[in-house]
Amino acid sequence: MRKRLIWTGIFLLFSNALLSQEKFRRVPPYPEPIKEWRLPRLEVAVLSNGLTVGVIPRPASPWLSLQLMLMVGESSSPENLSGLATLTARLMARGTTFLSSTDIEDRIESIGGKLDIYVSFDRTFFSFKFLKENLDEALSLLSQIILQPSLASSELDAVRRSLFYEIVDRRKEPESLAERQLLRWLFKGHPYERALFNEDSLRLISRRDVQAFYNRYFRPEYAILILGGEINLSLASRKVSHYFNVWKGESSSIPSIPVLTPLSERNLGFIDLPRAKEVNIVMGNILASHYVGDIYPLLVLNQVFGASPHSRLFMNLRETRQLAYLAFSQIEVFPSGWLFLIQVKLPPHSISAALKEIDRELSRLTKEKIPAAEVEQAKSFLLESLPLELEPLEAMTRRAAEILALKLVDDYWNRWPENILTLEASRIMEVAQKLFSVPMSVVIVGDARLITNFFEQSDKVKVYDAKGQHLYTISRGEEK
Amino acid sequence: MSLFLFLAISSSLLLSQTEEKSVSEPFPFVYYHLKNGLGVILAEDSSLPVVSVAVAYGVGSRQDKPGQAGLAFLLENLMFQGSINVGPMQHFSYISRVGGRPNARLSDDMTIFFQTVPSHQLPLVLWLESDRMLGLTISEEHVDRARASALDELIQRRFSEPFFDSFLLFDQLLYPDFARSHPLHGYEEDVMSLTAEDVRDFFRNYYVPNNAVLCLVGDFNRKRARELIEKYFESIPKGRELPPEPEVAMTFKGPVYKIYVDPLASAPAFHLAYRVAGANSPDFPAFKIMEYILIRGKTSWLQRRLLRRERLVVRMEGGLETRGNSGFLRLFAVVNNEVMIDRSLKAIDGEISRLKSSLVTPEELELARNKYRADLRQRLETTADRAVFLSEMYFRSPSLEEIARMLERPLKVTPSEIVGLANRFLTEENLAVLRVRIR
Repeated sequence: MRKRLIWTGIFLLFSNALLSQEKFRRVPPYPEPIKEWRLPRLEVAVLSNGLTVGVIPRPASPWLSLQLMLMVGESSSPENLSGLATLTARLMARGTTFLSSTDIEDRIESIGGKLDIYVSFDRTFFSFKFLKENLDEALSLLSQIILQPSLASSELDAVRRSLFYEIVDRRKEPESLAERQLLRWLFKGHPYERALFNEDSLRLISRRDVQAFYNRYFRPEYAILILGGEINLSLASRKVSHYFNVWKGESSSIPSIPVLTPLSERNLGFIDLPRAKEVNIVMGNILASHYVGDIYPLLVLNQVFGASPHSRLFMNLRETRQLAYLAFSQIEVFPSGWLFLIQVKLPPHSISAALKEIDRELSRLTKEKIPAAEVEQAKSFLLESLPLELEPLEAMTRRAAEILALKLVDDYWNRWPENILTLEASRIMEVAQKLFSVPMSVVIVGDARLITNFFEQSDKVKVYDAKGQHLYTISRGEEK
Repeated sequence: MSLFLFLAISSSLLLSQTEEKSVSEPFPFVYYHLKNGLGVILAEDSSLPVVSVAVAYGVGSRQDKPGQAGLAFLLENLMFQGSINVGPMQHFSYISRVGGRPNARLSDDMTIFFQTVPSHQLPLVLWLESDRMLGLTISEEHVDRARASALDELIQRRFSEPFFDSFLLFDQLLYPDFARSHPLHGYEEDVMSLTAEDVRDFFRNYYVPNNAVLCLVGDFNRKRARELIEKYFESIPKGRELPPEPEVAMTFKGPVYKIYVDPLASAPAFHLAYRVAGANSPDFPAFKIMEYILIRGKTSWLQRRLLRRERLVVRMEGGLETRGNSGFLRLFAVVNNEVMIDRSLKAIDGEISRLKSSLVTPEELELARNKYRADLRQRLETTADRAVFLSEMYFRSPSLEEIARMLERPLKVTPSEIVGLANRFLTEENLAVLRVRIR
């Protein structure tokens, strides 16, 4: 009896402790006090040949990340030779006056390095990451690639072949198919259209075209070189100058690109992807603004609308109505215009209902003021998630290069927290009304046999092949 | 035993939280154990206001029993389906709401859950992780949902991913025992038959503090972090002590040559492997360097010859793989036609003969060392990378103080060691080849 009492006492003692602990387990804890954080200082110098050099400190990092960005991209390729900018940039890393393709690979791997080359609508990136003790070797190698590329015919075929396989592979990806078709509409007649090249134009490109493109556009005054890691501006400028001083500038201005304009009518397109179980929808339009002050309300607006799993689009389409598996939106900022995109993955039977809900959510942005709590939540997310986004060193240097090219260092880089914190719902609504009054065009990719109902309900659906060729139009289920 | 003696022993055990030990290489961290046996590793880095939290459990697909293949995978999935105070998918929701990214990774010997969040949200992550360690919601309904999602993924991959089944078959050729050869996501029939009680047993046995490690890397105050860890984790009851897993004998016997017809493949391919030493063997560091000489990176002998110089293969991948005490140098390559398989095998044989008959040059060895060094630093780049790395080391290295020494060992390998081991291991008896034909 005495023993039982003691055991009961012990049990009560422990269970009381557990019960008192249970209280704090019941609800999520408050966060710790938030620390003020600013983006690391981006220091910039311009060398005598016009090359801009920037540095972002990341003390104690064993890596250096280098971004050499040229403010020239596929939009600078001649109209009948789209793909030339990509082919040229890739070919540059396949041999120089003194180094073969194999030598370059050896050199990169011997310094623990990785070199990626990427060409966009209006930019070319040579993204080089290497161990910090190898700065001289890395700059020496990169300067040879940039200043003395051999642009050999034998390597041209190999690069063309590998690009061809990439294009073919991309056609198997429904998201890519849909996005490229939408961009074909949005960029029709604009130089950006050339970035949507296919294998046909690649076949026409000769070594002479590559050489001419290289001679014309690879100039220091078009370039920005950013170094991120344990380095300061004085050392970076000295070293970069040592290896790149023979790169001669001609003080010419960066090629101008016409302004993008929104489509005034809604297009509805379809690409058949037999055996696809899911449907992918991409919709969007150009946003007609160039005022930098509109960027910050637009980012908050996008956060509220569709940037994360807690945004309205995802919560409505997936969580509340179970119409979609995924639904997100994004904003791309180009020097010649801003692009708004919505991407949705959903089952075939949900297309009509999902499109209706997306339109309703878009319309809400222009008609209803966003509640203050939702605005504050979006602002907190943007402020707090930035360090997470920029934790990989390449992400930080890439962002810095883009901001520098857009001349937004003072406004965006240095004043990011203030620009977000001071925003109010009325300003966000003003921007929504200004930019979101345009119709969003829609591309659907899926198995045609599974979405006949949608075709029967739709007035006019233009059907395309994977290369963007218009095949026929469906009206109320009938082919025209 | 008298009750008082029992209480005295119990209380001394309860108070046995270990002293903090400091390690400075490969980067500074401290570690200790809570009273319930939970390992804790703390590595401070205030360069950005972020913190990564990893919780690793010493259980993987190797603990699946025959007839229950896929149980570890199912439980990994269920860890996001709710716990005592957290609803289904709320873990994901809480973390992504503050800008973080929850992740999980299952291997044959470990299951790791990790996320990176803004540093002031550390209490939230500790609350979430402790809640699911304390008690997971494992109802029939939850298991049905997780099973359906696991089966869906399995079926989707089997019927849409070319070469998927060929990888499973090759695993079975290399590892004749069930524990190491069955796929992480199990077999359809096994997954179908798993019950909530099976899952509960598995959770009770393996998802316990004394079989887990909690690792924090990033911007936090160590004293405050210790307080929070104690608050959320110390009262979680210790699980029963697990008996040490018996080592499974290596039974592979080559040469093995097989053919498999893949109905989904649009091009032929082949798998090739040589049995080598396991991770605990003193020979393992030499195989690590051999991996870089032969397979890893564009400058490796096989990539350069097969992919670039002779263009025998369209793509290739591979490296050194270890499961328990077994190790294999593995390679998978896709080719344009079957003639290329023969030519590739001949070319591989040529490169292996070169490795066996002459010493690698100092330049080749230095290149391999540099690639190894760079990969190692790449594995430690972000706070999440380091949290996962330390969690893995907690279970896989003999002691955390040994990590730096262990990582340095491949850098001391000599050309004569490589030649010796190549002759001993890269032989016909250790070779397996699976040819994949198109239908």
